[in-house]
Amino acid sequence: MNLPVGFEICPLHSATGICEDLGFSRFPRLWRILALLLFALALLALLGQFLVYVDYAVALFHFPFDYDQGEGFELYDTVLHVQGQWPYQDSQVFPFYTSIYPPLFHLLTVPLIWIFGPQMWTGRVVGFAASLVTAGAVGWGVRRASGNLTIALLSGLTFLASNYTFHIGPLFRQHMTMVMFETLAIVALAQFDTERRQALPARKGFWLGLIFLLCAGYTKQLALATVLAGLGYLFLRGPRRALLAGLGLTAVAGVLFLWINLATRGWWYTSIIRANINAYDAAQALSLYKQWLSLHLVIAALAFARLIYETYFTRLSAYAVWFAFAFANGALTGKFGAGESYFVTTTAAACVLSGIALADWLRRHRPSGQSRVGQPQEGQPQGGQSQRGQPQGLPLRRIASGMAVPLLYLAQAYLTLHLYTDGPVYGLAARALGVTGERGYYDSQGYTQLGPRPTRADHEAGYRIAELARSAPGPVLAEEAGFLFVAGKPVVTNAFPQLVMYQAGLFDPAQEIEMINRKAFGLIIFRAQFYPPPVLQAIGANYQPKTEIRMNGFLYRILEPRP
Amino acid sequence: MLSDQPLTKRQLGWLLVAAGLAAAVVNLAADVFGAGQFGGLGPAQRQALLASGALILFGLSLLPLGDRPA
Repeated sequence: MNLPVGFEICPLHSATGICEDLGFSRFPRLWRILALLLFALALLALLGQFLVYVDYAVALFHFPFDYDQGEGFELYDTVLHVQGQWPYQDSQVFPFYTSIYPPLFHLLTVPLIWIFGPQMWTGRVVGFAASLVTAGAVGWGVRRASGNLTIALLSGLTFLASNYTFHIGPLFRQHMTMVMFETLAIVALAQFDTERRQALPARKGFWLGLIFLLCAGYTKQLALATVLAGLGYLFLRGPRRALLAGLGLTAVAGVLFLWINLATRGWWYTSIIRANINAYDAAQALSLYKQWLSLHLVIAALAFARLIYETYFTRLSAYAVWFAFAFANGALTGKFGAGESYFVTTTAAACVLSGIALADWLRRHRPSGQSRVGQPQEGQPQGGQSQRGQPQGLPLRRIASGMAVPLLYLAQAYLTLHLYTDGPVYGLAARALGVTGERGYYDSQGYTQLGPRPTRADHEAGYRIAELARSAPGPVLAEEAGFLFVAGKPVVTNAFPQLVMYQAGLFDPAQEIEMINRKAFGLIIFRAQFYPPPVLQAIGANYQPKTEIRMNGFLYRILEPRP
Repeated sequence: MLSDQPLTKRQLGWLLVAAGLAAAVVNLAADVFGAGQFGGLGPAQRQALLASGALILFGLSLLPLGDRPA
């Protein structure tokens, strides 16, 4: 058999081979080795980031306290669901508690609480699993749209390597579960173009997409942009069908909304909608836009290029519409209390769209006869192969495009680089990469609250605070509920919703202040002092510092009643 | 009866122009109804107006593309 020079480098040369996916299989030997090395390096970098992610997640699974403020309240929401109660309550009366998030994430965590009790790791496992499913959906979307398994793998890993995914993935937060449903919805709806010949009832992608959109909206309100993107895409393909789908979705969502609102005597609407209308800071939104773009420059640029290409030269895909809506929705990061997590959907959309763009780019620069389906593709440049199927030598442009893909993924991995810097393995890696960081953690984003693994000192600090709460008489007013679960104390108040509801004129703190004036709380645990100003003033007048304990880089101020 | 034919580039262009104009009008009307915390155009309003203008320009750029499917 007369193989072209260099074929032994890709012994498993086949339609599913990496070499063919990346267009290397007909490169001259030296170029092929170089290209494969670059690809291996990109894969290694992304797999390395994934291992750091797993390490971080496992460290958080073992930490029983709040790592990100508010996780404990999400656990409490889940516990309330386990007890058959809604967490949407009148927070002006004892225990001064309400939740401002929809219930689906908590309901998904309920079975774990049934089995294992109120443990912080339960929701963290759900969030982490959701991030893996999201990465899988990103890869699946790229694979189905392009047929390129290698780029699909790189796209999914790039999503997991994002600083933002890393920070919030393994938290007891509903955000990543929302992103999972959003991604599944768009990947399902994107099937619409391939199901066109089927009757509407038989279009699984269409119905699955609508169900996932509903799930995303009932996981977190921010999913509205993806709902609009999904319906917008359907609108492009057929306005009447899209309007009917929108009406149906609104009807189902509306009935659920009214049912919960009736069951909670209106506190659902107050907590979910009215309490989430906060002050807006345009500078904060701009700053987060800049940060996201700088960290995700490669996939963002590719996604924008693909969006422009589809807009002016082909048809807009579901992923392009989604990316546009998700990027625009980033403007909501200007809301009081919003943050980087609002860009995780944009990251997922950018990963899919950039992956499709690169796979398409490779397909167009693949020599004819090297198509994945064994036939030259439409619009594919001709040449590069003789009539007998032997390579005649490749134009530099083709070689450059094949080399560019792993280089682009390497560049993206470098932009989002984050790793621990202590210990024999991490220390070596950090030194090799020339990075150092505070608290044993380096993040290309700069200082971050999230990312460092809790240390033994953090565990001990958490248990000291929990012990103080356990030994205090009566209820304990704490800004983090994790201590209270460990201490076996009831959860009282949820500081941040109180603050935003107070600012919106939805929360009268009179009863809470009356209890503070009576010194009814045996202990007060502050972290960020997010309570409404009158509550803080009442605490200042009736409580005095007992001690200060540092945990996870934050100073927790413990107050006891004044004599 | 609303058509179920795929939208064309031109139709999408007009829709985006209309959406941009509507967004600009609502944004400017916010001051008329006393929303916002600034006397004139606040920073968020300025950014929203810029976004509306960009949307209108984007919509206009699609009009010459005619009846190709969007």
